[in-house]
Amino acid sequence: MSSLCINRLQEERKQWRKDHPFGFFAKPNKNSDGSLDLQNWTAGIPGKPNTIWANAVYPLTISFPDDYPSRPPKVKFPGGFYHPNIYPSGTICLSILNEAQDWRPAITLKQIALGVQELLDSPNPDSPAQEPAWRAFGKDRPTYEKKVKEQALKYAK
Amino acid sequence: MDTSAVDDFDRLSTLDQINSLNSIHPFLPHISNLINKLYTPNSLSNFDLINCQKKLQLFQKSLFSLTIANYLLDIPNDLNSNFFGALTFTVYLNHLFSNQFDIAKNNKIIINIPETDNDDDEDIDNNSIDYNLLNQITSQLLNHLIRLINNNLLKNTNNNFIIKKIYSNLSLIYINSTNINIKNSDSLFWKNPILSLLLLLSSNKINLNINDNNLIPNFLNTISTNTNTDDSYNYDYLYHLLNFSNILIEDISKFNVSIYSYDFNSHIYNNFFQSNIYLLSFIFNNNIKNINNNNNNNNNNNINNYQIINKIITESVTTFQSWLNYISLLKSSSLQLYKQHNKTINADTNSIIDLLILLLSFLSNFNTFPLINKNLETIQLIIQLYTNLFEVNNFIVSNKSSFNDHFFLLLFHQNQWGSIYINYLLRNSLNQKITADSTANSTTTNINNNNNNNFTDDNDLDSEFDDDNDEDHLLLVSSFANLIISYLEIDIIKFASLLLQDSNDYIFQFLINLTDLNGVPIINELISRDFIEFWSNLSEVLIDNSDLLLTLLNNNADDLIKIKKKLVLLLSNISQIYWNKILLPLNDSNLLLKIINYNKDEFDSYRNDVADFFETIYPLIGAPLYKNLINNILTNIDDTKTSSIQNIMQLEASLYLLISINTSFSEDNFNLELLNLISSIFNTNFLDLVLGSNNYYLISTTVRFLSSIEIFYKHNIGLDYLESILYFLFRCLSLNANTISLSDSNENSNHLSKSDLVLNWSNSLQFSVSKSISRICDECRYSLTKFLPKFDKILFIVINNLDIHNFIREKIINSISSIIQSINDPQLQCNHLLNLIDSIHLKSTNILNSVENGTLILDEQIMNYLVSLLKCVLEIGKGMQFPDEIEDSFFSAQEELKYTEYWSNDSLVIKSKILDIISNYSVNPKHQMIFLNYNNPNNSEKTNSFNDVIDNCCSIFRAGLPEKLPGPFVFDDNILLEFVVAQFDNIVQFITKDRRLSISLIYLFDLLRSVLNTNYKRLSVDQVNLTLNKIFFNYIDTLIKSDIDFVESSLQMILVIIEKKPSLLINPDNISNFNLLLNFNLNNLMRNEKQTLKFTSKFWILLIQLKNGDRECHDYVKKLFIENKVGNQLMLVTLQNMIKSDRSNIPVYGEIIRALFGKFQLYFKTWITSSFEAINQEAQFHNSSEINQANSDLKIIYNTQTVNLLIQKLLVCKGSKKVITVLKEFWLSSNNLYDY
Repeated sequence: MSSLCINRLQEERKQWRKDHPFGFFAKPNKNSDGSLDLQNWTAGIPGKPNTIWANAVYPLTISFPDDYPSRPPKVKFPGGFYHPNIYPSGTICLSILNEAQDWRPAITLKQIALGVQELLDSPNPDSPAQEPAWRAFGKDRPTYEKKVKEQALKYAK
Repeated sequence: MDTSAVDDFDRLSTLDQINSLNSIHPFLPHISNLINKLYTPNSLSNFDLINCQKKLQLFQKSLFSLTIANYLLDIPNDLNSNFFGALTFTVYLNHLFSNQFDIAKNNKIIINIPETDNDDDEDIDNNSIDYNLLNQITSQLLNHLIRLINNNLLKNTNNNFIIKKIYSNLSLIYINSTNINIKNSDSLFWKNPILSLLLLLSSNKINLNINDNNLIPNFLNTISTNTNTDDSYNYDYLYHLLNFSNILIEDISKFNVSIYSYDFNSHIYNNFFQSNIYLLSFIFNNNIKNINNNNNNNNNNNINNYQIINKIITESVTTFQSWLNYISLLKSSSLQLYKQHNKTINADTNSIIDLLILLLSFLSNFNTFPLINKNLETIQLIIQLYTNLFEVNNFIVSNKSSFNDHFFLLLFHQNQWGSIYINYLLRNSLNQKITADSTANSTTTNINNNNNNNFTDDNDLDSEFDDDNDEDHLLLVSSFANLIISYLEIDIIKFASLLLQDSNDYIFQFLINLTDLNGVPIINELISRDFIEFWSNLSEVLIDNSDLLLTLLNNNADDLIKIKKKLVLLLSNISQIYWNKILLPLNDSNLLLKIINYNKDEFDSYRNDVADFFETIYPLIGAPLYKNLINNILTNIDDTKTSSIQNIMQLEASLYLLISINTSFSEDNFNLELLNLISSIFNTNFLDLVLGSNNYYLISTTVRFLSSIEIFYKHNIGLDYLESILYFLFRCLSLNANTISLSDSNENSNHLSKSDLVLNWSNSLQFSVSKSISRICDECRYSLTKFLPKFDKILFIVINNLDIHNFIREKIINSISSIIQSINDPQLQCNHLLNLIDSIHLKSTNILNSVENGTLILDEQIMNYLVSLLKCVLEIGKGMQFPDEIEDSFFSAQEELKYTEYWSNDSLVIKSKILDIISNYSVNPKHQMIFLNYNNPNNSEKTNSFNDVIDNCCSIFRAGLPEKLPGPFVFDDNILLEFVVAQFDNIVQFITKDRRLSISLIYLFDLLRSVLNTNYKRLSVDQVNLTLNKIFFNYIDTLIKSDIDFVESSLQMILVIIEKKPSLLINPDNISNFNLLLNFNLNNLMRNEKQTLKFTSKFWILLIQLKNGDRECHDYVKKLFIENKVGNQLMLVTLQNMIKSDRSNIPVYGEIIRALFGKFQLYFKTWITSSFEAINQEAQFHNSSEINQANSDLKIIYNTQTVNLLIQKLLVCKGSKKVITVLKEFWLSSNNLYDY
């Protein structure tokens, strides 16, 4: 891991501690000796209030590559997460997390977390990443909402 | 008023009408009237208000705007019109300079790039500015300004907002004129606006060229020589100079500074900044002296003077802050002003440092200021300035020992500002600051920073905060804490090294005391929240950056050890403080409800942050931290025999913090000591006491604690407690709202009622318990098998109790099933399974029969319960799946044989019972109708309930598909295929009446796809043909083509066959169906849906490549494409549709063309050529139509040259990805488009 990457991740941690949105959490994993594994974080994204995603905190893993921030982190929900833009493996399909699209080194962890929260209730039907949720979202909204609510119970606060 | 003039005025409704007027003068009074109407509350309806605004905006944009602006500003005693006049100038100037900017751009002057040596100065079209006009406007504004200021001073008119607006206009003129003309600094339109203002104020003269550097010093000299602040004019002038400076620099900073050139910034920096520095130095120096000089006179005159002084100091601090913001922007901009001009930066940071030190004396003299001068607003501004400096611009002060030493002293030394100020704040609430008996010199200073070598938790602070303390006061204290934190965090490693010297202990003690302010966090104090991050960062110095600290200590390892020991001691103290802070006020019902109703998120977040802090410091303190919390629990368990609410609070807090530490444990760091510590809790009657407390919080936190010690259950010692723990959890499940209490106090809330809360919590507790059970069962499934018989009663309740939430029922069933799965004796396994399946079967049949015969009224709850019971079967299926990670070593060869034999025979007919349940729900005609006919009264748009039945039935079948051994959910392929066919036939009957059922057909296609995907090797041609005939080929024209969802899902199913085992479709017995399929997919190429096109394209590519096809398949397809001309036809349809499709679809069509080239190179050119002949023929026919000609709806006819060129390019690509690029170019030219 480059010093640029370490410095940036330390700064991200500092900034997150100083200022993070309510209900979110994000922290580096710990090595067995208690030191921080700055390249691998665990985070939780609360569903927006008054949406079908509300009252739950959705777990995320964030892996920062060695050449972060030149390249974006890989952000994943648990496998099988139900959402039109989440691959069956849990990987999130979001333009700001795509090196070839809108990723910029200046994008912060807070922006990523808020971006993922926004994506939850505002899926992009033009970028399907899994079939069941994508199809239900586009063509069978009652089923989609029902499944999202069931998932919200699974991750209820 | 002249009524005809009013009518004329009313008729003016467009800009053209206004601009065509000969004179605006007759209408000026009407404009003023309209403005006053606009600004008078409730004088206009909303409709009129909008019209009024629109009309006034037209006048602002008209040719007469300057006349209007001057007229309005001249009206005496009409602040509304005056302000609107100033605003009209703004509109005019913005328009003027936006045009100017465009002119500059059109002349290719790039004004936002850094300086280069070869700048082409002559390119700047200075003449494009009408300087005479600009001069005229500036003079007009300055004249208005001096009149307004005089009115303000002489008549005490409250017109500051108009003056500020005029400053903004002048700022607009200065910034824009300077920026455009900056290359020629000698001929700048306006040399120095601050000097011009001073000249105007002092001599009533307007001079835009004045650049006399002595003007400000001379003016300041007159003030300093006359210490009598009765000379209020000069002080007011000083205020205005600052006010204008502040607006100017804020305006420059509003935009990204990098849009201005280096020259511009340099000019601002070297001229404007320097004169401002001079001004600020003078103020910081002299006014503080003035305050001190008058500190014993509390007469009215002095009070006025102090007000003026405070006003000036406030404005000067604000201006200084604006400069610091500007410097920050400069630093982060690409101009790199500092890098390019090292000398400049040194000089300037030095002058800033001087100012920062000067300003510190305002703080250091705080104690000596008379009470009326303890203006906390100003102090707050100064605190924010320094905090901002340390957080954003700390490069200015880094390595500046002159400042840092001074500041450190001020913050931490005895009887210096830090301790005096905080104690002053704690003793005096804002509304008491001018009372006679509250002085800063009060002797009862509470926060000690006297030398104290042991970090005690004995805080003699008596902050006197109570519930009524206002938020402003809390924020002042919080700001002070943030100042300290931001300062120390500039170099926290260096700060950590201070622990080495015992003589520094008082500093840490001071910080401990600050953290330990009395009061409930969030409600009464915020400072402890602010310090969490600081203490965490300090801890991490020793955890993650000890190497850096060691370097700082000259690699003296002993010193490092000493620091670590002291830090552990310090953090132990801090942990004790925070443990106290997170105690839930269960003994104070009012306070608890206040938190729940108003501050829940913040308070939860606080507790969460504290828990994270404990997790952070655990690696440093280690087991003693854990032991301390466990001991606290043990002590309280003893005490709880007396049922004290205090015990409950403490138990809850300790458990809450342990949960967080538990997340740190892994096999590497979990040891016998920790194991014994956890055991010690369960060796008591802890769980009974928790349950007996009936306290929601304690029960809920205990439940979470139990699921956080999964590592404990993996050890033999832990396993001994599993039964009692699970028993506890199941008992918690049966707790209901009536048995859970909020606290021991009486209910007293006007907001959320206690009963509402408890009801919500009861549900929430159930979820939490079910998750804990699930987690423990998943982690310890192998150890739990012996407890299965004891779960029977729980299962009976879970299955039969309608009131248990469906999610919880399904979760518990899944957990129990996963335990059953881990029994490797199939007979034993089957016995448990039978119990489960029979219970569900019995209950669901009873309910269905009762609904059917009318003895039970079907409502939403019953319907959801019925679906949940079916879903429980699915959860059993999921729970019974072999876990991936142990599949290979789960059975010995002999056990595997026994297992296979057992389930092949299925002596307890478990599989039949599962099928019975499925049939009972989905095949039994009477039961089917229950679901088909049910309409949810709350939402008739919702999906048909029968879809849920089919979805779950399909999922139950799918649950056994991946299994390698024949378990209870592994069914014969024919059973699945028959189900698909039967249900398809069944649903098709109803689909015309209820289109919502189309979802069920898609579920069936998906199930068949899964069967094909998993079992394609063993499926026979007959099985597949028969099934496909009945659900696909028979309906291809009548049903499937009509619905894009059917097209897509059936296509996906076909794709699996073509990819995995094409011979199932391509065989002599299926020729006619296969031709039907080819036509289906040629037609699909005409569809515009992206997904359909994607699947269709994939179909053709797979068919062309036939990677898993046998020889017969290959021969057949080859014959089909070449002899039967499918290849030619496919090329034609692909090209035809690609040309008229969206650009984004080109790759989808292009991939087919690539595949055709790859397989049929010899025919490729011929097929393309003949395709274009056909395309041209069709186009000619189309174009010959008179109607099309009349409508200019003509199609393109491709000439031979174009076609040959395309073919040539495609051939050169040899089927590579470049084909797509060639086709994109072709598509663009075909559609008369260009690629930008």
